[in-house]
Amino acid sequence: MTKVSTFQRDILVFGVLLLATAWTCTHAFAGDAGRIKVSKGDVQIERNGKLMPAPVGAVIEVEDTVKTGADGSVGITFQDNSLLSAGPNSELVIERFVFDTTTHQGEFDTRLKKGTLAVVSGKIVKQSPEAMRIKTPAAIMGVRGTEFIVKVDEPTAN
Amino acid sequence: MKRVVLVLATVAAMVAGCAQFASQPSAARWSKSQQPIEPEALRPSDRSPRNDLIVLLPKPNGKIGGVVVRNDGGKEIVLDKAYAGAHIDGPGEMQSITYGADRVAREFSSVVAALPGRPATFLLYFLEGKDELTPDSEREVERVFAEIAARPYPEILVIGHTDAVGNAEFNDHLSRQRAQRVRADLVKRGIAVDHIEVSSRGKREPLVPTSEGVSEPKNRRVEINVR
Repeated sequence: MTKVSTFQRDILVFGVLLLATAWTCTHAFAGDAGRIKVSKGDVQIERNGKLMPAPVGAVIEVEDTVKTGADGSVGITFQDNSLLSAGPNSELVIERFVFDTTTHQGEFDTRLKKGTLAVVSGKIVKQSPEAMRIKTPAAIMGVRGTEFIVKVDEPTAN
Repeated sequence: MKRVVLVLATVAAMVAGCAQFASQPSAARWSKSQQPIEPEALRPSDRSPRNDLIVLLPKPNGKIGGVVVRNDGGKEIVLDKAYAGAHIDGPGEMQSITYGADRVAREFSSVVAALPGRPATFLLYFLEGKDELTPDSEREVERVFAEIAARPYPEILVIGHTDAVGNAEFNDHLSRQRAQRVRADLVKRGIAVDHIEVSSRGKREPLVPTSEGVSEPKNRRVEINVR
């Protein structure tokens, strides 16, 4: 055993620990963002590339895409008491949800790729206006505290 | 030996870094936004037709804070009145519009109908120094529990409080007993125990601020938050 090999082993240990800690940082606090409270017709959650059913009570995590079919609609409550619902033929991505239950500070980013969306803002917006953002293919909305609807027509080739 | 110190120091440093990271909600730690490309945003603005619509709804209670709509052409519209809307009908285009209540009802009925019930807060009041409800709250409790039980998958937070009679230890215990009593009653109603979170604040958070030792019926309460 030479000095160099011990050093290399130290570097390896360091690297492994760094990776493990980085993983913990990104995953350990990733709690549930919300929960499905209304689920009618064809509703599915796409998570890590897999489709799964979305019954009442199902958890919504950050990065989930919620998809509804022609007869589908879905309603979700979030931890900060925000409410979102999507109508038929919709695709909604929960891009980011961070909420501190003590300070009510947080960030909430959602993308409506197509379909219809209804929004009721919650505690995040009450604490920090525009910390909730809704994106569509052509616009970004900063929510200051309100209820509203958004419609995105699927782009048609022409 | 040196190596052990190095490893321990590294772990400590990383845990500290992690803790600080975690305490800043603004850090994008949950977004894993290594997906750096937003295809829509990068799409050449003249490629696809657009037809996005945003309409404010009347708010059942409270004032409208509004929504700022910014389009991909750098235009900005602030919506702050019921049925005020923005229509994006082409690349870089955006117009203010007013949408009628009837049109909203016609075109958006299914999405609006799918909104979950509004989160709600209920207060139940207790007899002095006891974990028993007042006669008024005893009458009220049926309605409150029925309303909670009617919600799909209710998520409940129960918080116990006391008035300022007695020392802190006594009131901490009493507020906890009150909250646990309410939880037990909710569970009797068929609500799953793991949907109910219990917390108690003793005499720390009075509804009506009083001096020490003052008996105040409004402070002898349990708050039930449900969504």
